[in-house]
Amino acid sequence: MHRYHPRWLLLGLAVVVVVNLWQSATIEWGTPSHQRVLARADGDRLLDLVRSSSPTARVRFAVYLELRPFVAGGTVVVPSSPATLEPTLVRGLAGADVVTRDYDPHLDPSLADRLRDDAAFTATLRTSRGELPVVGPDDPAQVLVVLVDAADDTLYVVTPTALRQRGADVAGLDLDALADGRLTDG
Amino acid sequence: MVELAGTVALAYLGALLAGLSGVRRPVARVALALPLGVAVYVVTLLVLLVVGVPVPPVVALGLPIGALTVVVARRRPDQLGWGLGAAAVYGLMMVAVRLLAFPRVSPDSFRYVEAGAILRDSRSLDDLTGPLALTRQFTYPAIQALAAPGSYVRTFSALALVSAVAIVLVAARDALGDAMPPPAISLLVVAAVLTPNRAAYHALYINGHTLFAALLAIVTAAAWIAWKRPEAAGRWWLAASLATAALVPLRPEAVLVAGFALLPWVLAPAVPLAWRRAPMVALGATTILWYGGGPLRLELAAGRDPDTSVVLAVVLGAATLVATAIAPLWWLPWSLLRRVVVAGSLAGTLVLAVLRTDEVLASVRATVENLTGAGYWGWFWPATAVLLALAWHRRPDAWGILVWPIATFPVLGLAVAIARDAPYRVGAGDSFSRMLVHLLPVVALAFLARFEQPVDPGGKGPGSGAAPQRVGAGDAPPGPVH
Repeated sequence: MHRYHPRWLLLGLAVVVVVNLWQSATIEWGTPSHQRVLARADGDRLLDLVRSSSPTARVRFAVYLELRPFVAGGTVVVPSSPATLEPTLVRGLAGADVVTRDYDPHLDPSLADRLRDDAAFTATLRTSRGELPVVGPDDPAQVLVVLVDAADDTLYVVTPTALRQRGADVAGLDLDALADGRLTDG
Repeated sequence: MVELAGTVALAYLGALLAGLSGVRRPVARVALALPLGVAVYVVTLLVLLVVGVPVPPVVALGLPIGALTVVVARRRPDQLGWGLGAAAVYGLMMVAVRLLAFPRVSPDSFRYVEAGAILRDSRSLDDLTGPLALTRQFTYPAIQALAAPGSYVRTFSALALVSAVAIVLVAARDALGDAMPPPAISLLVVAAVLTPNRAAYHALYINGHTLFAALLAIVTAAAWIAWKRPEAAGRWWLAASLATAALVPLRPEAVLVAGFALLPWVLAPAVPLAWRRAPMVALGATTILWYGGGPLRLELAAGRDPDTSVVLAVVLGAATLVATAIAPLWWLPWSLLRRVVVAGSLAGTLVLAVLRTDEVLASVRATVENLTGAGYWGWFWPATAVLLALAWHRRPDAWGILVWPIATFPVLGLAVAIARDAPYRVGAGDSFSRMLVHLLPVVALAFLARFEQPVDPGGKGPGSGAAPQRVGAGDAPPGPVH
């Protein structure tokens, strides 16, 4: 009678379970308060947005997905697809009259240089509510950082990976954590 | 409330259908209820919209519910209770998920919800145009269309994943009988595939991946049972057919994936020809119905050149129906066809690699990164590949049927990347990384099957009284499959 009961497979699967749980635990999901806020905000905003099928609504939604609303100290982050940015919307979010500028880490070497050399960049978003820390994403590929040039209020939308690759030292931000999708609690 | 009503209605419909198809065990009826209910609803809605009947989605759901209720009430009124029971189970799960967990959304989620709103409000396919139809397809928007206006369905992904796991256990029981591994091993296997970060994420993600996983599990399970225990195939032919019909308009790659997964079923010599033909008819007919009646018709009506992939899909659907009718094709040995398909796929991959080297390399590099951490799968897939490779030695009979969809997945994935002119990218949001969720139930089934217990020589059940024969991954069984 053949036996089909390989103990090595049992052990292998048990190891898989343990490693799965350990690796999942190292990925920040957010604190419970963040999660509830995100869920409620996601749901509320999604309801608002689906009621409108206009292109503006879709842009707002694309922007919103990366927005962690002004609760529990969350910072607004804006998607890295400048073509989808609606200046008026971004202006409103920032709470200041800022100018958006298209940023593409592959095509804008002058900005890349500035990121390296210009110490005026900060990791805060200047709004009427003051400085806000960063809240992490569901999809790390979509995490972006909004940087405001304190000198001229220019808004820059960049990926933490791009910043890290260019050796930028952005005060107040753990770029490694952001690039890996891990939360930075405010 | 509307989401609750939609959920219980789908489960009720599916449970009635499962009962009519010969499924008797309560767990099996509940497991199959949601995917079968979705399949009937989606096909009904698609047929009505293609022929131009402007029905609200709830009517497309209500029609088959009404019809089946009448049929069951006349033939087997005792079965109605099972429908209500399954509805209650899914209803309770839906409420629990809604209260305890939080949805995950992405731009794709919005587009699905938007497509669902279009179907609900316009009651027509005409507004489902361009990229929205080709990328979001029909099945999952149809589910979202059951939401109240201005709302969206939040809990479906979790329910579909639970259904997928239950289908795996039911299928294993059907195929292995008394040789089923003990519950502790089943629990370990289920834990192995549900504990990766991505499994938990996708349970809450507003997308159709877990539904794809459940439907693919049904097709693969049916194919395995057709070789392992063909006397049980009668309970699976309808489920496999409906699952195929719902798969086709779920994702762009579904036609290929479903076709590949069905091959062992359609060539299983111990299964009656009519049962083997049914899923092929479902595959061909639904492909023509959706791609022909949907994207192709809309593009031609708008005076635009249709996408090549749409035309190819319609041709493939027609070819499938022709092949269904050609009797001699049905007696091709699975062992031969399997080798031809594998060789052809490898050759095709080589050709692609030569013609589109940069894209292929980019996709491969990105996928390797995603499978080793960047995709949030941890080391699950490398570990699974190693375990499956080691398990190949001294494998039980027909085990290769379960490995078949897993082994062919990378080639199909590469073909999809080339076809859409966009290589895969690094990150958890990458398409191929997300598509791997589809394989989780099949992986679980493969591991469960590998633990097939020897049967007591004096007892009943498969292999009783004799050593299990190694049929091999692709060989026809020497006689009736025990």
